[in-house]
Amino acid sequence: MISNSQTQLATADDQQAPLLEIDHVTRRFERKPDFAAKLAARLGAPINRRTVHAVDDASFAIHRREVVGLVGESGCGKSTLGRIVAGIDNPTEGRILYNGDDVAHVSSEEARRFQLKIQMIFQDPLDSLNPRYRIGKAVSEAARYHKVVPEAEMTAHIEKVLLQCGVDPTTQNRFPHQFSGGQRQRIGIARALAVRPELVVCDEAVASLDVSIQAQIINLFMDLRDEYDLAYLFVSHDIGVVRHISDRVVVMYLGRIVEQGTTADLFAKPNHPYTQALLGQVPSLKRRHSSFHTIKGEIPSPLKPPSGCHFHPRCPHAMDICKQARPPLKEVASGHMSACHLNDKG
Amino acid sequence: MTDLTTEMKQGTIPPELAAEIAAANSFPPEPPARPVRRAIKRVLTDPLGLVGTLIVVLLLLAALFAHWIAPQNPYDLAVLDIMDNRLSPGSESFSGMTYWLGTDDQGRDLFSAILYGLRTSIFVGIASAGIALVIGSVMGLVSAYFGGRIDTLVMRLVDIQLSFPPILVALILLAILGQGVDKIIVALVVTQWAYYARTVRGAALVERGRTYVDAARCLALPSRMVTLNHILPNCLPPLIVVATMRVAYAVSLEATLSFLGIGLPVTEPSLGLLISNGNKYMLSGDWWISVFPGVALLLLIVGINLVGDRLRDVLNPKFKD
Amino acid sequence: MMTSMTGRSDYTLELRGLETVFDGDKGAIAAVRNVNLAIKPGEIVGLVGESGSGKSVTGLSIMGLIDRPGRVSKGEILLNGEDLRKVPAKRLRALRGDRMAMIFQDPMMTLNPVLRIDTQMMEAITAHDPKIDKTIARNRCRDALGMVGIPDPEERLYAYPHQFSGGMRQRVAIAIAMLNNPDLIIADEPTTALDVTIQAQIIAEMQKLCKERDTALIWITHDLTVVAELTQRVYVMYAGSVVEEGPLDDILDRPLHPYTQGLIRSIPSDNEPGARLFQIPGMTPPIDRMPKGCRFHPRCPYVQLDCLNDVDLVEQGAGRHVRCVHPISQGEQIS
Repeated sequence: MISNSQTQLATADDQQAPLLEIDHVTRRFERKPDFAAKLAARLGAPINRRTVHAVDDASFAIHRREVVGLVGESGCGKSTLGRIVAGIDNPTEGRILYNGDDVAHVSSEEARRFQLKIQMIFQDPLDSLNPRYRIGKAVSEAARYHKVVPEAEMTAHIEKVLLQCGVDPTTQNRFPHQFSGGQRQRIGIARALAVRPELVVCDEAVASLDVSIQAQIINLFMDLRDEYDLAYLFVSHDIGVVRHISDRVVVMYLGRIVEQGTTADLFAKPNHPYTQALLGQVPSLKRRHSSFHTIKGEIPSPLKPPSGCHFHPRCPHAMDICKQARPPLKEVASGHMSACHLNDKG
Repeated sequence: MTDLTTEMKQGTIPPELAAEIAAANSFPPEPPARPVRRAIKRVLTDPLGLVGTLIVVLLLLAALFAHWIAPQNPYDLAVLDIMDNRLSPGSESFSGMTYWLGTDDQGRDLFSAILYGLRTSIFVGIASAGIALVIGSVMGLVSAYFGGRIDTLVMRLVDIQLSFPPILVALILLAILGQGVDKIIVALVVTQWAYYARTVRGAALVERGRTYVDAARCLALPSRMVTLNHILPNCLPPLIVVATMRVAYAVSLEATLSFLGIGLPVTEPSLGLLISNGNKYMLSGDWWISVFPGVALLLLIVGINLVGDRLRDVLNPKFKD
Repeated sequence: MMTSMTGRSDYTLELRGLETVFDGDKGAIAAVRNVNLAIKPGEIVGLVGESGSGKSVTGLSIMGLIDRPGRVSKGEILLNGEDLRKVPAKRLRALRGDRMAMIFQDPMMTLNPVLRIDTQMMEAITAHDPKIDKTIARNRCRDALGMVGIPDPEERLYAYPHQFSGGMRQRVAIAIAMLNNPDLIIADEPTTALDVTIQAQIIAEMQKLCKERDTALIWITHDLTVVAELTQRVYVMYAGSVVEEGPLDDILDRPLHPYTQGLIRSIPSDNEPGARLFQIPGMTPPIDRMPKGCRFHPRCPYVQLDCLNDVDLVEQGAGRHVRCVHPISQGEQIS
């Protein structure tokens, strides 16, 4: 029910600027040669510059109240992209537009405001909470520092946020280790919510939780979206969860976006061979004892990605051109983009 | 939405069970955590830890209240009687007072001298370790948080500092600065800050990689708050251990320097100077002048090390049970 | 192969009333209580539960790998009819790695990072058969690597564990477990840390190998979807006990225990994207604060007064057992 009204809303919003736009973002990690390496290079040793394109020329947008799922396997760069969106990491190239403004070219005051509008929920709830902070302080610290609400209303504000996240406000004096995993994640969500964000990046936010707790947290995310008109970037390897929660899905492979589209579209008609294979491997309660058509081979090392289309060594439909040229992301249906040379064959 | 229990079970829970079920599903009452109290308890339940703590506390109290405990003020020349010089332990003075640990070559009661010497030694040890801790921690934190060139610079400085024997550095410094409590503290700080810097940097690097620091940055908290409120307090356990051990080391280094005659002035004798004073009478059979201050020094250092050892076991997450 | 004195048994492994406790300040606390389990040769059984359910402790108890302060305090562990709790330590060591083997979530639990793969594999063979011909043993190692889908097994024998990716390392661990053709393999969340495409490969591989060799496989996991893919029979554990047991399809389509039902319904399905998920309220009780009676009653939507009484695992229909005072009847089933 939420989802239907959501799709319409998102389409209506298309005319306006999206809440957040990722514009040709690239993130490279480079191991700079240290003194010894430089010396060795001087003496004739081969220079071993290791560059990883964690994110390679990625573009997509998130609209108000939209849930975008970002899926892919380990090493595909989804977490890095999530961190860039959350402002914890910076892109090597490309722009991030918040409400149409380039976040790299605004005043520091403005940048701080943008930063607060995008919050992040992390995979390991215990690690994401300072072990020496009582949870009341953990949740209120930033709200207080940035004066999100007047000091007189702070206590009520924090209590309201905690209650909304299902945390008993009378436990504010406890330390994170006294809570269960699910409770800790709720505290992390309350901390993010306390600064009134508009977009929440969830980086594998339910991956470390038990199944029954996972359902509680996913429901909480949905409730909060209704309450606060939140948008989510839901980074996850769990395709079942992403399918359930997302309006739109972005699929990454080895640093590149290979396909994106509305959830219904993408799951009904996956275009890219990688997406097709990936969706075919997801276990579900309905498929029992089916023999998988497993994708051959392993994910190549991001240090040495294959030429052309990164997927070609594992692709059942690989052609000559796949080894040579990177396929551009092209619209294959309305709002459905895919990066595959097969689409050019006509 | 918040009260999960009611949502799930409207009307289906037998009223007799409602309270018990609500209690079971609400937040489970975990025992309150008192990390400091627990750490102290765990130090004291270990026999060696207990012995060490007792020694340290006893010596600290003795040093602190030296003024009241000591039978005479060993630096008040008016009360000293040169005729009482080098009396063996247990002898009585002309005035009827018993020198339980004997006297030195000035006729000073050795017990009193040790209490006052202990006070000087402990003060110098703690003061120098404390100052070195502050300087080293700041350097280590800055180094870890900013990384890059600053990190390289600080860490190379630390390497250089640590590659010289501390005693050599202290000797040179004192030769330049001259004698005095302040001078020796400066010398000890210079030789020791690097240990703290390295410890804090290592711990801070680990903490900086944890996601609560990412979360703090995501919440747009300034670097100053992230380092001081978040990272530093989590670096404390290893820092406390290093600091304890370093106090012991500072005390013994100071004793060494004083023994060599370039540490503290004769007017403020520490344990090292007392040992040095008695040294020349060792061979003539008056052993007590050196040995008793030596035993006091030994007890102090062993005590601190026992406590430090146990603290390391308690605070090191690798040894947590 | 040595056969036990106690004679043949239909089951590869049988647990009868297994109880494992952990000794602490407040006395012994049971992590696993009265677990009965039986598995036939060639059967693949799922042991499902959330954290704190005792599923991993059960696996480790079978292998005799419970360390102080934990200990197996009650029950029988019958491997081919031989009670592992009664055999001398030497015999247990001989059985471990030979007749039964374990695969962990982290393959580095099995692999030694400083030894080459071939050294470790040869050791696993010679430990149980010292007189074996070196060439034969070597060939067996190579074949085992090839069987779990490692390319160039001959060459990869010379590699160190760190030279493999996570998925490949898990394959090596599986190859070592399979090396002596054991009767029983216990796999504790072996694919949880792996990507879905790699998980699919390993599940397919394990299924094939166990079928070919008639190996009994206990797959311990929190993930019902994996269980659906792989197993024939399922044991559902909650708070230290088995709460339901039965054939896979029955359990998934017609769960009898409210907890099983809750677990199944809380998994997002393809049908209703965006809808609220079913959620079980509360959380698994901590091991030292178990509710009395049925341990699930505080979270159960169907709770009644008599749920405070202790309840046994009772037979309910063909081949099915449930530990519940008010099992869900067919009429109440929600599909």
